[in-house]
Amino acid sequence: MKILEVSNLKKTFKTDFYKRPQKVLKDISFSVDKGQFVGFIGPNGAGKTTTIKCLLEFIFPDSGQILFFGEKYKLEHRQKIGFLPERPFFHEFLTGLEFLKLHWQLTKNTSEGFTERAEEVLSQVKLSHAKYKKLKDYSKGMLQRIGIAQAIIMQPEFLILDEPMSGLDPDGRILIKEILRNLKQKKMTVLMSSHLLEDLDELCDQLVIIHSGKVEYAGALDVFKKDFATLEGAYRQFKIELPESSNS
Amino acid sequence: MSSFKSIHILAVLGAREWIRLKFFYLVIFVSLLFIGFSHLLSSLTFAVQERLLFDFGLGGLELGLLLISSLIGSHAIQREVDRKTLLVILARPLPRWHIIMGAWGTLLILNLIFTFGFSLALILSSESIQLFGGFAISAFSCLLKALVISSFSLAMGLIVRPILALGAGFCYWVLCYSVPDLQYFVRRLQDSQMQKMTEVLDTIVPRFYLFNWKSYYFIVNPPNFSDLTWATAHCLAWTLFWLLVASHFFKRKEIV
Repeated sequence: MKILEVSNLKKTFKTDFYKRPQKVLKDISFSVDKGQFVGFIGPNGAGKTTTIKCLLEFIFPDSGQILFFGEKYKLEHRQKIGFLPERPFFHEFLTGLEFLKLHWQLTKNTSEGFTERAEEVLSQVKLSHAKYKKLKDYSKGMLQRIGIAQAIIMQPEFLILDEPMSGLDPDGRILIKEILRNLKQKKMTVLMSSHLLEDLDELCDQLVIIHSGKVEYAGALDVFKKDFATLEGAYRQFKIELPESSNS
Repeated sequence: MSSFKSIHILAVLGAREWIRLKFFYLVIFVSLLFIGFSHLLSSLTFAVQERLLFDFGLGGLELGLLLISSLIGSHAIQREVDRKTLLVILARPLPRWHIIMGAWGTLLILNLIFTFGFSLALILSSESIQLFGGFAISAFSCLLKALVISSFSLAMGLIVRPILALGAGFCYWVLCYSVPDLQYFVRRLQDSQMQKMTEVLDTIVPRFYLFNWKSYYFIVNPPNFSDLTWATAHCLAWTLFWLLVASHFFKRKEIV
């Protein structure tokens, strides 16, 4: 079953009145099947975050189609989707528990079942000890973990993570990776953008590589790696083989 | 019911956020200064002590409400966008108009807190508890106007930059009071086109001058029920109009 199908997504940004519009997404097409862990790779400015923002309707594509669960995007789909933005910023005066409750209530409109689920999720992200602490006192890694907790608290069918491990110290990375490994074991469908090839190599089944707003590869990780032992080696070779127009 | 719940959650969240900030305390400080000055001024006279106290005090109330409405209104959404705290909220199954209503709810809460606090401080310090009824109506009229300015600033904050929206909020407030003055000058100019323009202006901006009850006279002689109902309906209709405009613009606003 296809959880997400993106076809021919195009997006142009007009930065200034006198400047030419900038084509950020030129042709984005890929799909995500149920239970897959998909890595979304590309250099800075390739259009990863823009694509994710289009998926969640934070911005609106010029053309193309996005289907969630085989249907055109509807508000109700958001109940089945969890999202962690890049470098998450939250209302820092809330405690960890209040923050989770906010998202629970905004989705479910009731507090019923919250306490048990919050305990479960907080222990999953190893933040049970800090649930009454204000978010302003959280470290970057803790913020990232509470961000993952808000994304998974509603038990979504599909999780979108925008660079969940960027800027973390080794301990933070290890913890986040462990959480993601658990999600993978539970067969959660995940689309994760990241620059960390080593982590993607370990976690992903599928890869979507974008360059300058175009999908250059969408398929299985094993096929992409072929004769290479690591994703990094395969990616290096892939970059060399890319046409010059894509590399510029 | 579920819409109301999510709007209520967002409104309380926003109010908690703004109450923490120095701006809110600055407005309270300025208002306390107003109350202090009104006492100082009233002590200069024996004959119209109460009049000076309430005239000046109600002016302070309206100014404080204007500051809260236009400043917070113009920045309410853009601040969340800039700080990226809006992203995780937008990812929830909420229609975008809930977020607009939540922001307006925040302004309503802050304006209510300010009105109650200021009124209580003024009434208690004046030792004229018997005037509370009339004073409450005058304060209510200030609150109604603040609601219109709040929704206007909220809408402007989505269309132009917050600083411009802030300026627009102040200008709108001035315009809502000054159409009769403009009409007076235009009549003296004897320019028929200008006269028509001011007539149009009178139709397309709220008529705050018709219920400018922030004076001692209206505390002692409160407006009748039908005037009060008209003022309430007038302000609520304008508030609704600007909230619809805000929702319309926010519906397709790109959160980059």
